[in-house]
Amino acid sequence: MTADSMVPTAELLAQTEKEVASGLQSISSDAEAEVFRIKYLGKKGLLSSLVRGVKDLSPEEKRNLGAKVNALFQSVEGRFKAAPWTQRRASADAGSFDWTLPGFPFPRGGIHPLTQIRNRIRDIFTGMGFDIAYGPEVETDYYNFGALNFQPNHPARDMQDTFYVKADEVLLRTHTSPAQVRVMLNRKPPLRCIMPGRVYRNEEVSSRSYCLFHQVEGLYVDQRVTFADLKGTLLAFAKQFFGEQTKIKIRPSFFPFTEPSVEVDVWCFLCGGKGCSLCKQSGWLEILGAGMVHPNVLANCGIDNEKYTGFAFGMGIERIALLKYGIDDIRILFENDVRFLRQF
Amino acid sequence: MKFSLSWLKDFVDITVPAEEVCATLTSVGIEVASLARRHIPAGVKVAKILAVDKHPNADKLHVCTVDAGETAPLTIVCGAPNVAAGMLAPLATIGTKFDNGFTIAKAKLRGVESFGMLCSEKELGLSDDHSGLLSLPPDAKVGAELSACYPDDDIIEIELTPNRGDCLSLLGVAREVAAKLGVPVKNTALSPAESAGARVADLISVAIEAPAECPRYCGRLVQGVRIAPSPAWLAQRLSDAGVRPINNVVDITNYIMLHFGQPMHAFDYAAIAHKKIIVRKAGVAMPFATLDQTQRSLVAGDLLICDGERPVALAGIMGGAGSEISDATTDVFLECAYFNPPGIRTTSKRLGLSTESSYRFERGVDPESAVVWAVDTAAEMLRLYAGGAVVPGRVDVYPAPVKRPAIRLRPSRVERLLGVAIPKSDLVTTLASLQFACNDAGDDAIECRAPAFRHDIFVEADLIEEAGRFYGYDNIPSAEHARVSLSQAPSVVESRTDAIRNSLAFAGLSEIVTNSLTSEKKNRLLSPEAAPVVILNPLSPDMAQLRVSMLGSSLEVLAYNINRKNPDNRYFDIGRTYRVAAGETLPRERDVLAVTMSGCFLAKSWNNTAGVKADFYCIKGQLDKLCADIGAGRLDYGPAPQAHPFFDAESCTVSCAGKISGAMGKLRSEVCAAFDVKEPVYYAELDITDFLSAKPAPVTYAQLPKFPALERDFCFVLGETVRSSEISQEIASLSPLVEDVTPFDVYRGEKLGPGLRSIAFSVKVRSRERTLTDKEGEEVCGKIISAMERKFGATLRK
Ligand SMILES: [Zn+2]
Repeated sequence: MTADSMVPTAELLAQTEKEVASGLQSISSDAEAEVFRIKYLGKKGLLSSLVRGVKDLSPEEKRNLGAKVNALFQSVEGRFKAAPWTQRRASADAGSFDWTLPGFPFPRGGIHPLTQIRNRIRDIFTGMGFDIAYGPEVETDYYNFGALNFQPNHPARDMQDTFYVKADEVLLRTHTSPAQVRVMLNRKPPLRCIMPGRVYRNEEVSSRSYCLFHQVEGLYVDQRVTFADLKGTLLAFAKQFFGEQTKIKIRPSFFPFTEPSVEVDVWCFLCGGKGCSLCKQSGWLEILGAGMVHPNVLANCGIDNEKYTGFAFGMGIERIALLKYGIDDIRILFENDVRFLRQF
Repeated sequence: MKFSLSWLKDFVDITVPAEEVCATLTSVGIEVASLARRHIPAGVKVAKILAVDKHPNADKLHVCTVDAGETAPLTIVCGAPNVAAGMLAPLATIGTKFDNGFTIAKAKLRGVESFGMLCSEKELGLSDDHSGLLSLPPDAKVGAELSACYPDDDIIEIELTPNRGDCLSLLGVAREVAAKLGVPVKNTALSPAESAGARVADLISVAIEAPAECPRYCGRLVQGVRIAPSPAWLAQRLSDAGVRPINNVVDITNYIMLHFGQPMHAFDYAAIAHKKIIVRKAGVAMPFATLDQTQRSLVAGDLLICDGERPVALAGIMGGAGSEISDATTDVFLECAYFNPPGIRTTSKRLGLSTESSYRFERGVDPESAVVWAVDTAAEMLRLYAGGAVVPGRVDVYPAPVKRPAIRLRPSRVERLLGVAIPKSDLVTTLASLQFACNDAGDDAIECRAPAFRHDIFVEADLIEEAGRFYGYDNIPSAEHARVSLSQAPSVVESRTDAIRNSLAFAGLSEIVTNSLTSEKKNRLLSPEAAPVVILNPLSPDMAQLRVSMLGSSLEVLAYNINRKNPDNRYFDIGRTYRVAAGETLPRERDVLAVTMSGCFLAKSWNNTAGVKADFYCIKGQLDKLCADIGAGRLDYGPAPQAHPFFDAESCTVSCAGKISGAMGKLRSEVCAAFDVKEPVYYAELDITDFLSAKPAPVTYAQLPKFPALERDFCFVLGETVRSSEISQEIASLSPLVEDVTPFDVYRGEKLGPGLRSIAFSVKVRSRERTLTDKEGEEVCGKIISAMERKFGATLRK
């Protein structure tokens, strides 16, 4: 036994435990707490001395009492830290505690609205069993136009003003449809796939058009895919995206790579079809283009166009974002003003 | 294209209101861009201007005395330049209420009272012409309501898809409406009342030397024409269509083009050398002056209309200077031809010269009927409205009639594609109403031939579209179920991209989406060694190339926000960079993550008044957390490459298991300055292409330690070029018991001496088999101290 250690006994432990319990109860000030700490937990405190005394016990006693001593020390230390006096002190000061000061300024980030919409669209279609494919943004003229049944030297090519990298050969894709071609060439039907991505149009930048935008393209090719399936799929999408009461309306249109080709209008979610400034009083919003995959496109991709049919659709993410959030200038989406980004 | 509803009624009996006509057009695929009502309000009267006096107080105004059929003349103040005594013009009398709510009241204009307003065409909604007062014909009855001359009408503007060139006319639109309404299309063609005398064949000859490019050429000759303004109804129809009336001959050719869809050209017969027309291709490159007084450079192969000596027109696009109609013209040769679309388009595109005529020819016109109707009707109109005499006979060179192939339509295939069964008889009815020739070809087959004016029908699916759009897509039921293919695994790329976005967004960074087009200058500044993708036809020099680095876009966003008083910025951008790939057609596109920080990472606040500034270690910690969050494993950091174009010395390279690579650190101030950013900017650009598509590594569970660890702290003083990671690695290599080495304090100061720093580590030592004794712990400590001294000359700081 040394000066700063005390050999523990069962009685000593029991007595100390009792003492400590009442001591903890009676603390009512910082000074009393410090006295308690020095008396029991300090370097020369009673409990510390008992802990050091364990080494002087016989091996048998060590097994018996050693753990108990350590446990008591830890328990007292814990109870001291969480002692009632701290709580009493807090409640005593409640009158001066100012809970209205701001909390810690954890930085808040966010995901761009275009990504949010893209991912929402993606999640709806993946939920319906569509998978995802991508394609390069710099494409060959063949994938962007030729394989998609754009006849050479046909005015249909004027529908999409094109940025060229190499005259008549390499270009910035004007739509995500070339990704369809890549999917059909690389895989065998049945195919259910969406292809999100960035596309470019050589159009003067204005509040209504930007030199690039994002599309989500969809494709379903199988043995018995019909226009009714296209309608069902797009209606299910529209209901999930715009709300259960949503209706769709289909108008004939033209795309070289689908036949029949249609434009799909969605019931205006702002006015519920009554007519408002968003839908220009029509009650409908033009949201996407679609159609049955043109047999020439299937053939260009090595798919038997007698055996297989398919539908395709495409929608612009920016357009949906502008409508959904009531944004009147497309450029704001690419300015990335943090005051704008924080709103989403 | 714009037209009045009354004009459309020439072709189809329409009893429904304009709104329903628009709905019908939309239902067949003709998009209606606008519907406007043309309405002359009550109170606008035909008035005669009796006298015109100068306004006493305004140079540009006149004080007119006007007879509007009332008991006494009215005083009207008017600013129109063409106002003249004796002229008949419309007067909006007091109380006239316009559709926009504007009501005419007595008004004092610069001190003179005016009792109404004399109107221009624009003010009456008749056209966009605001150059002067509408001059009414001399036979108009003074005092009569103007609405009697200009009854109400509806102006419909449509937008057509490029496949439907056949609808670029009233006739074409009428055909669609009639088919939908189930009524016939009326024949509006006129047969000319020919004069006696020489036949046209004796007065002009036509030869086609390029029959592939010009399958048909019709013409008529009208003599003794007097150039004059068109009758009011004709001029108004053109105005309604947005075409400015010029004179009777020009107006009639324009009218016929809008009416039948057949472009025409009128030659001054006197200017046709040797009275010969030859359609041929240019043999060599040559200059040619078009009637808009512009020199065009033609190349061999461009289709020309020539007379006996020289080219007189660029076929289907524009006539030549010298043979066009002038005020002196008396004899007019009318051309109505069918030119093949691709040739016209090639020349028109190359010359950058698109006209109403070339626009129609390149989409395809009707080689069979409309071409004849047009030339006959035009000739008769020249007789009726220009006093001409129609020379007997029509020129018509048509060596090989244009044939349409037969296409087989199977009703079973209609059901297969549309998902709805349409009876065979209904299919035939629909197609017949659209003027397809249909023959029964067996149980499940109809043989169809498209009419000559349709240039968009090639295959069975095209016929099915015709059936579908007239059946009505809204009538096709929506499928309730669709088969789901179970063969595809969920997308790794998507889940990984989501994980990156979520990690960074939750950590307080904002995602930005930026333009991938940039300038040559910025690409050169940021990556001088890279081969950029160059746009041949850029919108502007600012967007002449695809970016080779994401940094330009990020700095632009930073400058934008700093300029708007937002000093603390943290962004990430997931986008692509593009570089030419040697020997490849397409460039290399990489998926890249860019992280940008500037200002405070943690904003200043009342209990943390300094905030936490973004710095190198802030962005490094961000990347470490990101990689842990997304399961990419640990990042490795290495020395920065020498002379990096945009990172300064406070930077390093970053890599991760060969799948992520890039660099991060502080940007060179001169690079920031090039983007008008003065503040320090920390940036990381990582290529994540391979990471996004790599198969995720399997997660295996490591058993948690059962035994306590010993923790020891050391503080070493050593040379400042020794990296913290070298020390950590050295310590970790000393014993398998070393579990963790974490630096917790770094100090440089005079007390230590030059070139030295102190660095304190907390070392955790643990055995997985048993509780370590103090002695074992001391042994490891001793090893560490001696190894540090031996390896780095480090001393323990007391
Ligand atoms: Zn609405």
